[in-house]
Amino acid sequence: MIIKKKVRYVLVYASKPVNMEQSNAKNFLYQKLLAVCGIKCYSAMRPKVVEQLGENKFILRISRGSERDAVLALAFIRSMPVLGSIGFYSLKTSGTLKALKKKELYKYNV
Amino acid sequence: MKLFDIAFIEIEDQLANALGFARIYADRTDLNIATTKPASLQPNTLMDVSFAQHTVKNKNVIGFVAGSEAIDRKTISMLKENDKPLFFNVSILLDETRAIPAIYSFKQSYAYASKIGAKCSVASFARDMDTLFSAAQLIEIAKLIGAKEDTEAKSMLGLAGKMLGSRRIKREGKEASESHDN
Repeated sequence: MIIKKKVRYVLVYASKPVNMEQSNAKNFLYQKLLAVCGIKCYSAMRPKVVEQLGENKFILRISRGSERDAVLALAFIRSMPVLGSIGFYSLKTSGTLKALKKKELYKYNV
Repeated sequence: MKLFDIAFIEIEDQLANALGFARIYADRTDLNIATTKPASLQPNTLMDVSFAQHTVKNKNVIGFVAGSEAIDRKTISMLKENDKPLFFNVSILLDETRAIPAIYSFKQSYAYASKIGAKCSVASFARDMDTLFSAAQLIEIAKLIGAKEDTEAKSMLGLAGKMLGSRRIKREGKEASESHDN
């Protein structure tokens, strides 16, 4: 029996160009999320950066039901090493990558 | 429902729309945000709530901004009587030392304000690009402060548009007439 993971994808826009494909940046984001959310919430959320879209945008995968926590946690992350102060804005949440990319292409072209 | 935000800086409409807002009102162009008591009050002024007792009846003051300090119930009742909204300054939450007391005082103020039916809203009051919030984030912060449902949080974010909507039309009309003359 194949059990499909119930996940949500969040489109995140950064106020400065950031490369989330680098492991340092990714790990720092996870650490910050852990610091803001706490262990219990973070383990339920299981965040993972799945794709970088352009210079400022990336897609964060989280487990379904943790959308609210993820959106709120991203609001409180305001600094990154090397880059200094930075803002992460969650633009849209979707159940599939395809739908999110479609929305990203047509609506959130910033 | 259209959502609005207030900031100290001007944000392009394209970015504002991408963040989920119909418009982000800017200080000096759309309204005046007074952090200290000015000698003369200009139209469409948002005052700090500490000056509420002296300026609540002034017609140029359209609302008040709440900081991290607790607001007493008398002041909130006074705002309700004069139909002046209270804006919670969310950018304070980004300051780690002031965040916890600010959330506590916002919760207390919002609980009493919603109980007596006073108008409340949340706004980022961003001073730069890094301290902005997206609409989804502000909705969640409104829920953190005490809004019970999505609709309640969204109506809080739509309040600035209801207050300043007419001004926006005037500005657009002015720009349109200028471009027409050219």
